Amino acid sequence: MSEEPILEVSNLQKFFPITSNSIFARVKGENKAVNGISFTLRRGETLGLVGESGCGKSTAGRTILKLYEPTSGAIRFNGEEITNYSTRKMKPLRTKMQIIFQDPYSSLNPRHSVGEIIGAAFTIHGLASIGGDGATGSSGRSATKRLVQDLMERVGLNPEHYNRYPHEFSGGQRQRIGIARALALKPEFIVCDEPVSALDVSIQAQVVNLLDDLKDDFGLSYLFIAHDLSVVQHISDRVAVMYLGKIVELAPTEEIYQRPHHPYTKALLSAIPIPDPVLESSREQIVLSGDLPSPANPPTGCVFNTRCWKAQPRCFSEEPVLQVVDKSEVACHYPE
Amino acid sequence: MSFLEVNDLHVEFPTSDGLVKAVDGVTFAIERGETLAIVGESGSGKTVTNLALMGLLSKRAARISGSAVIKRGDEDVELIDLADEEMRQIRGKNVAMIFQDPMSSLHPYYSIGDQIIEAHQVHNDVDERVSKARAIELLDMVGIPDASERIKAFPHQFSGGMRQRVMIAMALVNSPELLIADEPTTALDVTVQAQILKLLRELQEELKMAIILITHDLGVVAGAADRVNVMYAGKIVESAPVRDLYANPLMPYTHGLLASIPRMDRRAGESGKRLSAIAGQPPSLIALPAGCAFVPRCTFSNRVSGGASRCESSMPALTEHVPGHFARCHLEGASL
Ligand SMILES: Nc1ncnc2c1ncn2[C@@H]1O[C@H](COP(=O)(O)OP(=O)(O)O)[C@@H](O)[C@H]1O
Ligand SMILES: Nc1ncnc2c1ncn2[C@@H]1O[C@H](COP(=O)(O)OP(=O)(O)O)[C@@H](O)[C@H]1O
Ligand code: SF4
Ligand SMILES: [Mg+2]
Ligand SMILES: [Mg+2]
Repeated sequence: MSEEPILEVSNLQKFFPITSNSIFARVKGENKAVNGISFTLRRGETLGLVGESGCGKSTAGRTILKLYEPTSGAIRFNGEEITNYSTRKMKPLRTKMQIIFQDPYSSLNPRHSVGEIIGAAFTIHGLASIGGDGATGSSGRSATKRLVQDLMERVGLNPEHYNRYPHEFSGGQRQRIGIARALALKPEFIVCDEPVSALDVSIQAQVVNLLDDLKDDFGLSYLFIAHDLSVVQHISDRVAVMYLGKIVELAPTEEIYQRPHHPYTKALLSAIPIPDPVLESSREQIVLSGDLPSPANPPTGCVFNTRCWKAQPRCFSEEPVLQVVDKSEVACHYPE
Repeated sequence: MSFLEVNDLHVEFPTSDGLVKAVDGVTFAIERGETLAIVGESGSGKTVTNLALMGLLSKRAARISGSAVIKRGDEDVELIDLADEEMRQIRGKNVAMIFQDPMSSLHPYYSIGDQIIEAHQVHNDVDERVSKARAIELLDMVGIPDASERIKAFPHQFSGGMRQRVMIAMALVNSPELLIADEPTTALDVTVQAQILKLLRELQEELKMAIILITHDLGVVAGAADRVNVMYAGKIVESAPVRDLYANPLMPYTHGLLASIPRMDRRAGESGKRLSAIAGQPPSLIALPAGCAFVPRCTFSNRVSGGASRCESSMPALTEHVPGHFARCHLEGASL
């Protein structure tokens, strides 16, 4: 991993308008899905992005890839500010920035064969003939086929299944198809949006290991989104914890698990059941009370103040910003 | 005799692709006040086992055989092939079920109060006011704040975790002796899961009911179960008191499953970051092998006296290796 950043995100916001259901779709308010996040991803690094559903992880990932228009803030990729790039200006960058989705069932077109799904990227970007000197037609097609089959082999699929359709594959295999599709254009950066959340544990481990290997082989950098802190630990160099559209803690992986500083990180860690009945019965669990507030109407001051057991008056009046505590960055007035 | 005894239960679904052997000779028992977990990956037959017990499988789609005898007072009732009317008397009164998706038990158009009152009225010949008081009592017990007001609210007005509480209240309204909870926390975030698991523990202590907890999550099992049945391809492959199972798994599948869980209580990098995956996938239930269904994925079969070919050709019996600890494996004394 180098010190050179591949991605720099500063004060990124993405708000979704909330419209009333009437025919006069007036804007009633804003869902502050991503509400001012900043971080840097180094080349070759994996940054885990965790938090509970609805906290804005997917929106963050998609906004960074410019699949959503940012509301404000800045995104720099390889030093180039892309925040306001048009679709046309983004196109050459699309080969370098890819995404892998959570749901291996809905993210693959059921009417296309695996070969077509993985090969589509070459065709769209006019790269069908890598190694085939610009030829279209049958030599281009066979070059594509060879490339696709190499990729299939690399992600652990049988290359002979080139003509099969997604429904003929299991969940874990479909996720491999999604990974091959993302790798097709030799990207530098991949947003992995809960790539293993829908898979059974034994299969989850296969896919996590595969992603880890590919990272080294292809020189990738990952933003690895998950709601499951335990999965993230195995693949991330650093972890960012989100709550209601904000990053509340960002730290090296070991630090976050051994010395969580934000009360929310602490609660989140303690809520994960440990697969060991002896440890599980003896440890102290923090069970948070109440529900998550609405992102349309986040609390003033600290976003966590409605559920925090340490909250003081200052937590309700003044928003804590990320500050350095030991090896971590923490947005809390009274860090642990 | 135990409170519920299931003996050699088989459920088969004739389909156009062939006969799906979803439950293939399942035998287990549960005592009053005990929590029995059934764990296994998706498709292993956990849900179908319990739907069969509760008479909730369509007789046209499923062929069911075997026996399941439950105690009702001093009487023994055979559940398999029970007349619909009698089954309805047992369901919701002696045995209640909760599911992953609360909306499968809650009707979107009626207030939660009306639905809980109705569930009480069906089994009790009492004035509606009595049922209403009972509904409020239960909503209060499961931690719905301001229950006497919230009783008028509709399911969509609750968060996912709160809806799960409402469903639990409805399930418990007739003080069942057995609660079957099918993945009750799978759709919930970990902090909400922790709330619901705590609630179930407290309710069980208070009401002394037996719980069958179906889950794919060995973390959840560790903190919740007294005894665990591990299912693979329609069969119980291991059954043990919870601590024995985790400390000393005797069946290679259980062993592999435990090893493949990412553990956040283990220091990052400590065990080498790599997860230990189980290679391959579960078998098709249409073409089950003659012997052990796990053999294509098993890394221990070469240690069996007689070799892997014995595993392939002959089905091991569910054998008691240590008192109370059963495993379906040819390994001598199942030494893993
Ligand atoms: N395309 C969209 N349009 C409107 N609201 C959205 C959209 N995508 C997400 N949201 C809202 O933004 C918030 C954050 O969602 P999301 O980023 O999907 O969270 P996460 O991935 O952490 O579960 C949620 O309140 C969600 O309902
Ligand atoms: N109505 C049905 N027709 C055919 N197959 C079914 C039917 N219901 C369930 N199955 C199959 O039975 C197997 C066991 O399913 P299930 O008990 O739901 O698994 P689990 O709850 O362990 O995930 C699966 O392979 C499933 O596809
Ligand atoms: S700032 Fe206050 S409310 Fe927010 S997490 Fe820290 S102590 Fe809790
Ligand atoms: Mg998401
Ligand atoms: Mg199920």
